[in-house]
Amino acid sequence: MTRSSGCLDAATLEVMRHAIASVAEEMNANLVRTAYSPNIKERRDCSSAIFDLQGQMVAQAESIPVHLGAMPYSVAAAIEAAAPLEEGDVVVVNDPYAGGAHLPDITFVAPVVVAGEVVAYVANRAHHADVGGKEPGSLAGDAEEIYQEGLRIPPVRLWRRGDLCCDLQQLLLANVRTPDERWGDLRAQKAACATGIRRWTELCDQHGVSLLRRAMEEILAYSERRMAQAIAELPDGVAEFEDALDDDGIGQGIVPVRVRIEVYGERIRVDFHGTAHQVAGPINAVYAVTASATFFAVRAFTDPEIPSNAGCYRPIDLVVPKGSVVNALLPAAVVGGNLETSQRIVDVILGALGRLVPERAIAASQGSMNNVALGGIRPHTGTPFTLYETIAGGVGASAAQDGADGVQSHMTNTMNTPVEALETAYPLRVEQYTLRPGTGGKGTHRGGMGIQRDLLCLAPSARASLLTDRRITQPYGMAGGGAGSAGQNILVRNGEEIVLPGKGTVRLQHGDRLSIRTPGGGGYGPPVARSRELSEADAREERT
Amino acid sequence: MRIRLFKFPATPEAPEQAVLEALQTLIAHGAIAPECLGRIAHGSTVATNALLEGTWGRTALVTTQGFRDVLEIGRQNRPRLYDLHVQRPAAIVPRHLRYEASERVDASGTVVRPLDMDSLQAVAQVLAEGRVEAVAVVFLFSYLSPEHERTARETLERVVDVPVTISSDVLPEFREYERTSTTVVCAALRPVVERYLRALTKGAERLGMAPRWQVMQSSGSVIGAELAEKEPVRILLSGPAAGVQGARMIGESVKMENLITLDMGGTSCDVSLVHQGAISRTSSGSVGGHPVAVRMNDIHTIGAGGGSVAWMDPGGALRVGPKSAGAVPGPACYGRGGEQATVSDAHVVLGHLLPDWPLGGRTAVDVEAARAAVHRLAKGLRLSLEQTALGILQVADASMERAVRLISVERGHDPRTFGLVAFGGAGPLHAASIAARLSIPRVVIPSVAGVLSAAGLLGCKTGREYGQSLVRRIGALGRDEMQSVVKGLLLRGRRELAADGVGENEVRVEISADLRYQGQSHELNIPCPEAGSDLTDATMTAWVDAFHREHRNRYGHASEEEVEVVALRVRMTGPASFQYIDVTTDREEQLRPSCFTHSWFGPDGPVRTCIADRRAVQGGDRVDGPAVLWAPDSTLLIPPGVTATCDALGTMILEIP
Repeated sequence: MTRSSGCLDAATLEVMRHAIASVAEEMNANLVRTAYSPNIKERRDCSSAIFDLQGQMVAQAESIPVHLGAMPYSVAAAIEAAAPLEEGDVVVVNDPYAGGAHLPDITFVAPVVVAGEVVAYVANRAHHADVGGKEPGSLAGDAEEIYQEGLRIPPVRLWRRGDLCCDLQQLLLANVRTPDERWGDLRAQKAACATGIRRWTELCDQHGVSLLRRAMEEILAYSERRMAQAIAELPDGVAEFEDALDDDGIGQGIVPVRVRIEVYGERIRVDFHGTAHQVAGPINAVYAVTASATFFAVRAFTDPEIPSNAGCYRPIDLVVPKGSVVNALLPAAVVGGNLETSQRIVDVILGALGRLVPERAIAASQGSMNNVALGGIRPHTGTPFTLYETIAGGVGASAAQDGADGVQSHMTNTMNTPVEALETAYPLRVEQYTLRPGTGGKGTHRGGMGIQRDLLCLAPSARASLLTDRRITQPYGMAGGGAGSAGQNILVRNGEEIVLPGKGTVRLQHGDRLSIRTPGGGGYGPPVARSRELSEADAREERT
Repeated sequence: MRIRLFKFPATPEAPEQAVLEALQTLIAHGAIAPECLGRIAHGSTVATNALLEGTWGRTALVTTQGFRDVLEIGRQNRPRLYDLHVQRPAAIVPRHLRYEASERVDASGTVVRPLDMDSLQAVAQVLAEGRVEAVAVVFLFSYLSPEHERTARETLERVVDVPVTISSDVLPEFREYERTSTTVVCAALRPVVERYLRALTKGAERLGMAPRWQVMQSSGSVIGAELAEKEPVRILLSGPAAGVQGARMIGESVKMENLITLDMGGTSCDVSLVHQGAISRTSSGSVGGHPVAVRMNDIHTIGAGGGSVAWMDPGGALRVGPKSAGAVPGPACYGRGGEQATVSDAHVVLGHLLPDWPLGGRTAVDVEAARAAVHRLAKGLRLSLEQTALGILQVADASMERAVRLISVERGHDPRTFGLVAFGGAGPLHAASIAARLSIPRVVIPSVAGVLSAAGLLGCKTGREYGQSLVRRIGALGRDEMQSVVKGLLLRGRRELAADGVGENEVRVEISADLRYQGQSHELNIPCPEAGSDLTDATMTAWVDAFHREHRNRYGHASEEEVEVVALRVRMTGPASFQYIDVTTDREEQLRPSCFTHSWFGPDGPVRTCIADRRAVQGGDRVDGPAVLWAPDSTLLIPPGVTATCDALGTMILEIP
């Protein structure tokens, strides 16, 4: 059923969109199902996507936003570095300076070959629990160069025409702490590619290569159309916004992030000139991370229902100065760019968009992922353990409502480890896990509350690495609303409270209590205008 | 056995009314004699609706000190990834009714801080003053050491005259948030379900009947009303579970044990999977955003039904649902003022639903209204009327195909090795085209497609499931301790089933364990390889081997790591009442004479199609598509090239080329 103009009709477009999206979803489901490590299986820190011949992303299945729109850079790098790709080839890449985001995220790219010709590419990305480097978990909060953060893999073939390149495999596995688990996860990524290739080939058999090609083009055009419309609904104009990260973890204070947004007609220009130069500590973001955070913010602010693909981002012009903390150059350390800086990028974009469209403005959310990596030796068995957690906080308020209390925001959405699971697996005890009253920014609508999570160390000793922000700067309020409270990291030793820095490593003794207190969200509107009803509910429920 | 089917409209403001009116009508018709009525199997949405609408009983919660916000923080993730205005469903217990008690048990089950009775007395005092209808108590690690919760219950029950629900009773399993949510849902629904079931039994008594009331659980078996009152959390998916149960029975009658079930009604479509005769179950269900971690049938619901509205989105794509025209005004073809084109209207335009063949046996089809509604949409899309109607069906089918893929392919099953059982008012209209999309070779349409849930209820066994979390290495745990845990569960089960009238010798026991490799955070449910409740060393070895095998099957690899027992489970069931649903048609009603019309099945134009009364089709008959088989409760569409045969029970089996 096609129109005479050669365009797909509205129904065929929708049917093909479902078909193509379900290939990406099946790849991802297969990846989650066959993966080895909890980080992929349980926290679902992975995504899968389909790309056309030009390397444009056509459909994506993702469960955390930080993968959104970041994979195309890996695919482009793979196509460029390894062309021409042949049937059975699988390219692997994690190098942030060749299309990656940070080293733990490893991406696979494989061509779909039908009748001897490449018709599409499938790709998937997964966060690996360890890729070597100076600290277990490859999340060193004090790295100064990427070489300290783990193994860099440029785009190279791990399978060539269906055969595993054993030499490369051995090199990779010799550089990571848990090679069996790594290989299990890498094999799952390969299997997911195979699923994508098989399903895409089936679609080609069913609909023909040329209809699929047209469907891909039109799906991109469809998303582009919808994004252009959503942007056109914003008033034309220019707005600027500046915010900052607390520090770089190894001595440099306040790191400004600045954006200038220009909306003109159906296009939007996002310009990061004025942002700090790249820093010595590991909070630098590479271009792909900045693009991902920008896409997240624009998509969430305009219309989150638009299917995510390359077309969706065509109306967005991105200007990111080279050598800045949001477009770092080799050999900058980057692990925290993906985790902390990406949150601040979202904050400044939403801040600027809020100035352009005051009625849709939203105050800042907690603006940190509160990364905690805790490792040591178990007292009875003598075996090592490593716990990695991110902790939720307050969401920003808006004209419509209060910010939500104690929930993940923006670039992450990973779940917590249940207390009963955590204490069963680690020599730790959770002493408190509650909302922090009074931490939400005041306002007509108040910001969401942060969280307090206290871990008691029951091992003879342990090391805790913290990669947290908003311990000094505060999540901003909007339209006269107050800022959310900053977070705090506190060590309680022998009844004495010691305030810890936002980033760094601390040695814990048996009986020490590590108290992570996450930031609240910003408030919206003047506090005096808050309704009595809401104020009374807050007082009754001890939220303020 | 003679079966008669009646259908009565619901009375949402007082749900027991509809049931009682139905019973009254049955008596009036002489269908039942009140004094002879032995049992009533009942499926109800009372608990679900209370949860969805927030009309639960006002409830207080008591937790371990430092954890009163677990209920609200949940797993700390937000439901929708790109939603800046995050909204989570309001916690069932507001923050000021969540109290903390000083006590603590550690991960080995050892008390590290005794329960401070004073802190409890303070709570009790506040409860006595506040007007709460129910109390839930959830302490950390209570699944290992329930004493603190039990003491708390006794203490609180002495002060407050409301039911106190403790988590170690409802769900003695680890993961505190899921257990807290489940316990709170249970506590909060108790007043609601108790009121409802008591109104039912009282009403029935007034009609001169004293039947045994049984209520359908989400897991596919029934329990007595008294137990349902105490643990309403188990009856949340009562209705859909009965439908799947009916579908499984139909599958059994046609000797198919791999089935995908598709229940499509007016507003939504439920899909689920039956593998080797067993209904897929899950412990990670949720209702209205509230996790409910009791075992339930794994049913995936999408917003695609006969009343789903078709619309053009801002990008120019044709979309169907999730908005529905509902019962009022309903699809345009109902002729009640509906103006938006729906899936049913598309069927009317294409000649699948016809003016002289009323919907649901009652509603006449308004062809002009349906055509006008689809026409309005067609203009915007710049397509012909029929192209638009075909498009609506394709889009609806595509979303259902995706749902079926989700519950089959994504969980490691190949739909081509399954049969599709379609029911609900709209299921048989879409069954053949969805099967074709997924290369499913056979479609099964029950003779009672429109009321399969009710029929399924009758065939359900009385049964219950029990679980106990352990989270210990199998080597450290040992056979004897596992044996004693199983014995404990069996003891409780025998007692509760006996109360439901199941004799000791009739009980069928299935033992299983949730196993995982140490260090993993997900587990597999592995049935105990030996029947009987005595665990031998050989059984233990075979059990672990079965886990390695299943892990390899499911995930493609096994491990040398030691195996951990996360939980032991016991499922106990009584005998089934009967196996097949044998519905003798009511011959008193006049059959409609068959005729021919022109219907569309694809873009190439209409084809001459036979329309017949399905009740005229007899065992052994064969119907070649294109054909439309009308019945008062649903209409079956047989596209060109598809052959349908009718078996002795009236089940239609479609062979999809």
